[in-house]
Amino acid sequence: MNELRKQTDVVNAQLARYGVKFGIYKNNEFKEQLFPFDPIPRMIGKDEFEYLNRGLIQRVKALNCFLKDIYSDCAIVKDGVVPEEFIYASSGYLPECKGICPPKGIYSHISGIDLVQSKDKTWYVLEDNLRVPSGASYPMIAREICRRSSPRTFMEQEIADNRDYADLLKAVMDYSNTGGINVILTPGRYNAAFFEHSYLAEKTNSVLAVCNNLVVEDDYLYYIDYNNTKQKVGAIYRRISDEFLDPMTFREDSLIGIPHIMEAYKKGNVAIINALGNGVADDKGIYYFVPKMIQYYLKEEPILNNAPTYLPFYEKDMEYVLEHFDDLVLKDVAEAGGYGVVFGNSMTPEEKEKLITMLKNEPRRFIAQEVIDFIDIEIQEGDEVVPRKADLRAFVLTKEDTVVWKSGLTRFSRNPDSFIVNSSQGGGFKDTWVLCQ
Amino acid sequence: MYHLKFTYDSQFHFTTPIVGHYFTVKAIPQSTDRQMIRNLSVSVDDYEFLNSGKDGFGNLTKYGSNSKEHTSFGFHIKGECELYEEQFEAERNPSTFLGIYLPQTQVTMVSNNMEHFFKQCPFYPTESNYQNAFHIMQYIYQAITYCQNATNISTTASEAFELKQGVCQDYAHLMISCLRYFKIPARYVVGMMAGEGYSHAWVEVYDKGYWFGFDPTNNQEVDHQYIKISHGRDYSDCMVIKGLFRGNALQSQDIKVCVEIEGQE
Amino acid sequence: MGIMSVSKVNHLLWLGRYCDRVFSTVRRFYHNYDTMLEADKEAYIKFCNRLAIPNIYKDKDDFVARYPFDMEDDNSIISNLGRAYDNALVMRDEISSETLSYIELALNTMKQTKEHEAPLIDLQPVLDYILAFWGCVDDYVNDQDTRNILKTGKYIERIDLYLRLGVESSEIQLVVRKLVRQILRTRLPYDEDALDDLIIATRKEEVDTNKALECLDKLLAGVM
Repeated sequence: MNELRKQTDVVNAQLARYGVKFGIYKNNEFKEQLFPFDPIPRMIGKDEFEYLNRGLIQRVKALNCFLKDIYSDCAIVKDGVVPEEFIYASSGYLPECKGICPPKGIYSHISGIDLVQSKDKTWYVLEDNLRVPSGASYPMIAREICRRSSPRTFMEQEIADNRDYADLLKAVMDYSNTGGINVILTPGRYNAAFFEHSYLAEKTNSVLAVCNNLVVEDDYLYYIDYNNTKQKVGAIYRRISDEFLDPMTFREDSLIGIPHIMEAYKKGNVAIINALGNGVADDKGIYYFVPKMIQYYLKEEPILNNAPTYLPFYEKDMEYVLEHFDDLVLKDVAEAGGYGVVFGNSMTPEEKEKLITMLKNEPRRFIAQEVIDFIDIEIQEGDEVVPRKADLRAFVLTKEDTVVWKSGLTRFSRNPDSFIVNSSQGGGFKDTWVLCQ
Repeated sequence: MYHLKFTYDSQFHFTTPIVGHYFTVKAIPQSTDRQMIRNLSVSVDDYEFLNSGKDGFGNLTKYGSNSKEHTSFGFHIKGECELYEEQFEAERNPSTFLGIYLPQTQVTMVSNNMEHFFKQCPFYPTESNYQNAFHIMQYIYQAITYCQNATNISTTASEAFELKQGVCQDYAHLMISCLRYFKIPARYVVGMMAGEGYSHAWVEVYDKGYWFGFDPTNNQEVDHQYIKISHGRDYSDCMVIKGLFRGNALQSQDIKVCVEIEGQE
Repeated sequence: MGIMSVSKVNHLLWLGRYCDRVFSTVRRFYHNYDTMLEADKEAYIKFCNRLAIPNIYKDKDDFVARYPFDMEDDNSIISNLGRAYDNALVMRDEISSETLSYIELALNTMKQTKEHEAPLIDLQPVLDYILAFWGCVDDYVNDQDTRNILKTGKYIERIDLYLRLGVESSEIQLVVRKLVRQILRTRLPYDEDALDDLIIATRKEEVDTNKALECLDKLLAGVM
């Protein structure tokens, strides 16, 4: 591994060569940035991965059951496990999806589960991402390049090959496909994750499309070829959010959507990956209930821990939150991407008072969590190795069975004092090695 | 029982030819516990593809597209309606579908001024939702004056409240906002009313398994003059027409809604 | 055969065109620069006129610095390479990451060139990368339609440049023959009359430049 560290510049030069970038908007101008790569991998031992594997599969299965239930019988609400306020007030809940059964009954085909490890080595799930989780392409291409740059490292150590992600993804698309081609829908090259969209299209042999290339006619979705023949689309891996997907059903002003795709979807004529309406299950408020879902649907005890979470919605929890305000981190359920997260102990008295008023007025809007003392992970800075906070996004794919990709995206914070690892806020990434021994 | 006859005609004109036109029409009344629709005819002009569907709220739609150049578009709906004496509709899935009519939406969001105003509203926890809805309707009716041009289709309840002016849509949003403030499930209704030239909007209030119609614009309970078309959380779920096209055209729209009461048995 | 939208075909054609515009203008620039070293200090003015680009340059040195490397100059080589890159980036799934990487390398190399002491040496890797790009097109692009459309773009651009630069008719005829071979292999909706007229206009000893340019414009008007 030391040898790999020496190759940092080589690896980064190769990443630049292949255009491993993400886009950001600064002062209304689009800029592409290289996604800083750190050569020191996060290593996960065989047994540890075995544990994560079981826990993640269990969690994603329960989340898929939950989504199916919420859009059909709502048994979990009727049985009083999840209060209905948490379902219907969630911006991710789409009444338009009520009664629609997606092809093969799968809602979350690609789930990105964000985990952190505390100092005592316990893993905690921080967040579920069931809409359009991104990031798998980065460790995939980084592995390819690291193997080229330091072949000896990979001879000496047996590491599960993660370049099978494209095959897994293709199998997911093929399984749900209703007959026709596989398409990846991108909002366009000025999207933050365009590299990923185009790279995954290349590697899965899917057609990369923007909205103008696709039309719905008589409840079927077609890709329009250049000599005006229409190719039926059987599965669409869309990398745009629900509200923009169909201007005839959701936001009428969407310029990146496909009119009437909802009608094709309702009739079961196309698989949309991931399904619409998944936002209700990865809502920060619903997160609290995931362990309960596992018990409810699978009749099993949850394997993975949630970070200890309080819902001010419950009076008992509100009392606890007010009492231990300074020890907790508060999250606004409506925000994403590391925004809307505040630490109780870092606020001025005015800010604190303001937040407590908001909390009392809209208790459903917030969750409070114990601050987990993350384990530090080593990153290279110049010639030095320094400790930084990092998380792990595990990718869980669902076809006939549910499988966990033997890798993941490890994101770290550049700033020594920060817990926020999002690339939109300047973090970098690492490869994640799952060891065979 | 009352016999009514209705027509809903809408005609669009485009100043220059348009292409890539998509539309969804949500203006088709259906039979419910309180109304029976007969001899319904729905026709659409200038389309290439046309299908019938149902949205997530159970409303009927006609949707389609036209990729070829055209300069006009229209739809025409007509039929007969029998209205029963009882003016309510049963909710068949109260446990799975009621909850969506409780949270405020972007449009019905309660502002500070509104909250202040709602607190003064006569609301009696011991009375039924139905009875409270009467008080609330009256209260909202007095809060704003009817005015054609003060608001538009995207005006929120709080904006209308500040203006103290509005049309049926604004009355309905404000009343829904207030009902939900008191934890009473309420939904937005689009329909037709005897003697009007346009479509109308009102409110349905949930009480013990049934939905009751209230018309805050006219400060009255919904009766034999009203034919319901659709319902949803707010205006945006019930848009009569959604459309999208390519072209540099300006569009104009003529709407003609006509409801006649034919007789009573 | 691959499945491709009109916009993708458009990107491929322009990718082929811009790659060749860069390649051919760099080679022309070599020739021109060499002449300017001692003999004709104003040769660049003729060069601009020929290519119908505005002569916005103060003098020879300004031209040598800006024409290849100035990103603000719309007609510069680097601007054209940027356009090639814009068209290539959205075609990763069709042309492969490997092929795309050579355009990325060419652009990154040009962007990193700061001093312009020896522009011919600085520009050498750009030529190398573009040649490697075309090599990749043959080796990594499995879909023959994609390959043929790219090359159609390349030859259209080359004929266009040769016509403007007044290259000998025999050389132009050679490229026209290559273009014809490529275009017949695609499913492109090309204008058959324009292709016939192009062959006629370039067949003679004295090439009918205006007519030929007109034909080139018409040839793929539907998709380009």
